[in-house]
Amino acid sequence: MIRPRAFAGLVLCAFLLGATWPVLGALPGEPARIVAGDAYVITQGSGPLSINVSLASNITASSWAKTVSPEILGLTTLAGNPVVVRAVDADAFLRLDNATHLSGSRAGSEFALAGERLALRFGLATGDTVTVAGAFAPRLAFLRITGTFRTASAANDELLVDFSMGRFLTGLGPLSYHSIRVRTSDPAALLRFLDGFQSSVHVSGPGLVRTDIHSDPPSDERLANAILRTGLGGAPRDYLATAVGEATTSVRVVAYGIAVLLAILVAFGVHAVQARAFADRVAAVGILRAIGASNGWMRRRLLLETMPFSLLAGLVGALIGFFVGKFLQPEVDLVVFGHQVPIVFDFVTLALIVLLLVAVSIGSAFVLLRGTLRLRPTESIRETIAVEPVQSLEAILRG
Amino acid sequence: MSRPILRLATRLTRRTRMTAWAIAFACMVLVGTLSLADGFANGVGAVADRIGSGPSVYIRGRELLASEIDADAIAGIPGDFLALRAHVGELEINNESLPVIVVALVNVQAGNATNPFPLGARDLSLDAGLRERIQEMSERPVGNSGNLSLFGIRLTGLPIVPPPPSRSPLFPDTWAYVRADLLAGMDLVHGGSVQAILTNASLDSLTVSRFGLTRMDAVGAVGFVRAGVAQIQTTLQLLAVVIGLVIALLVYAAMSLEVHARAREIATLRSLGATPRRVAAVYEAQAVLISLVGALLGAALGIVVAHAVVSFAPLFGFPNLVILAPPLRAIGLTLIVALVAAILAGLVPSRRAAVLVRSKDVVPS
Repeated sequence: MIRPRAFAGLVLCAFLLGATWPVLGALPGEPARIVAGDAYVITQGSGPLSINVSLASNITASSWAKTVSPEILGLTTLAGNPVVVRAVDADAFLRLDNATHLSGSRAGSEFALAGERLALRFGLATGDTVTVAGAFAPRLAFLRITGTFRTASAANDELLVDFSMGRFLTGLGPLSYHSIRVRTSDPAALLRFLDGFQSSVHVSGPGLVRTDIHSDPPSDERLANAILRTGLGGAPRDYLATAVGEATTSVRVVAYGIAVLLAILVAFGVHAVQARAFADRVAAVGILRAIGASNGWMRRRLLLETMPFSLLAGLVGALIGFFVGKFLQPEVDLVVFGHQVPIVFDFVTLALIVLLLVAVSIGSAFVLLRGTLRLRPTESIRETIAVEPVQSLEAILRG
Repeated sequence: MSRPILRLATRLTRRTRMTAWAIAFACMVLVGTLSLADGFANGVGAVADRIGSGPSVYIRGRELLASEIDADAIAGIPGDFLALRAHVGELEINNESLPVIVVALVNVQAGNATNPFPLGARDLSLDAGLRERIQEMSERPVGNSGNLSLFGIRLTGLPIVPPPPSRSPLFPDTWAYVRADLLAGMDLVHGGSVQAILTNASLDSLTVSRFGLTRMDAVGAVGFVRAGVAQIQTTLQLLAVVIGLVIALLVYAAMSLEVHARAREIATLRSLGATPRRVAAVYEAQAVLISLVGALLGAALGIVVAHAVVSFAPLFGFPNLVILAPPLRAIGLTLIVALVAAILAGLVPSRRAAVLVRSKDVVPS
């Protein structure tokens, strides 16, 4: 009963979701992706300051630690755009992030390595000098790009600098870091070690829900409230873990909220498409009922026609949307807080889009059918066409 | 001509009213989202100003090293400030060659400029960190003279003098300092211009616009959040494309159904002498009308929803960082999107209405 003219409309609806939902779905994971990537990340807990040179060197010396990368994270701007400057031990970082060195010198005592996407976005090349501001204290510095690198992680949109520059920009003490990232196949050993070392830390990573060692869980009070109330000094010691948690929650609320609103809009679109297609078949419904089709048979028939139809349209539209989004990504340059939002093919998202489209299509078709079934078959066959009296139309036309 | 078209176009049915409500919902989403994003940007700006972000740094353009402010004109800037000249040069010393940032600082107080350091016209002062680096590289104390290449000119035998007696915590200890005259003498255009103005108090907006200056946040995190929110605002505008497509789909379906349902009426109109153009205009006008009514209603609802979100956010523990302003830009964008979508989506149904057969017996397909 649903004619093929509806197909294009349903494909367009699925296309809209296919182009937007993968991006919205990826957004909540961005804060954790920036801080942790796909490694285990150790950040400061609420107790004594623990993320320091001593802890990093002791973890490095442990047999279960494959790669250890102590890091200082700085938020700054480059030509007015937000950029994360990450102070690292270049060798350890590049190894941990499986990064490929593209140009310039690999490291040295003073270096600034630009991620490939950052370099592309700002037109940076080895030898260029750029201005950056301090991260959490007023500072002004010039960074000479000594090389570029490529990685699949968030660091591809970042600047890597040496620790002395990182400490200058952030105002962090000479022996401290913001985080230590560890690649290990034995996370339990990592947790045991941190417990034994009396470190006050939060640990999270692949397959590991945030664990608080010698530390309270991150405060419930929102960081922004604390800063608003007491200034920057009012931020808790474990502000990094708190900030990541808060940012994830906030982004999730916004991204999922927009996704739900888009789903409602698309549902309106699907219903409009179905209504238009169904209008051509009202007479057919009347004829079928007149020759003895029961209401149940009509519903089953509609279900049989709608389900494969909307399933195919949903699949085609969602895939086209995804690939168009992927294809247009470099041109649209969807960058949020200095990082390009990854558009990753995700079966769950695809399945959700198709399911939503099928469910809305079926629901919409049933609503339309129910309206028609309320009419007597003869009324359906004749159709109630809006016609104004000729005299009235003539009066309007003649002014 | 337009009056009959308007009379016919304003006959709203239940279906067209529902379409207008659906368009209103779409526009509410757009106006609400954009006004909340704008309000968040305002709020972040206000908080950043409140917690203080250190001295104000003003540049021309977006990159300090590429900024060029007329050095002769800056005396007219009110208040006390520091004029910073900064360029990337190459230093040859201790048989080593390394890139350095060459800086000249001029104090301007009540219009009087002084360049207290270094004293000698050709003196080159190397700061402590830069000295350490040179010593590390050459494994011997820093020499008494060096060569400096800048603007394609190589100055030889420059006397090396001690680090500056005092340094702002704003600057790293890896810079080389020269007098401003030396830079101007090497290249009047690039060396003569000032790259940045540093002041403890903000410059007034008139001065900022007169010199075409841009404020650069000296605390990067503040600039990062401001610029990050600006990126979100830009990204959210892409939502307008999605909303536009949905509105187009809704209008197309509604007008298509209208034409379908009024096929006999259209035939009657044609028989009464209405031209195809006039019939098309009726349905095109109806498409635009539905869309505009929906957009205006949606804009109003969007403002209400944005205020409701801001009012209720603190109840859920969210900080009230949103300062709402009249969302004129968001409303303008919404109206344009709705109008364009309606005009385009109404074209096919209105054309179909125009070419319907002129017969009393016409029935929908």
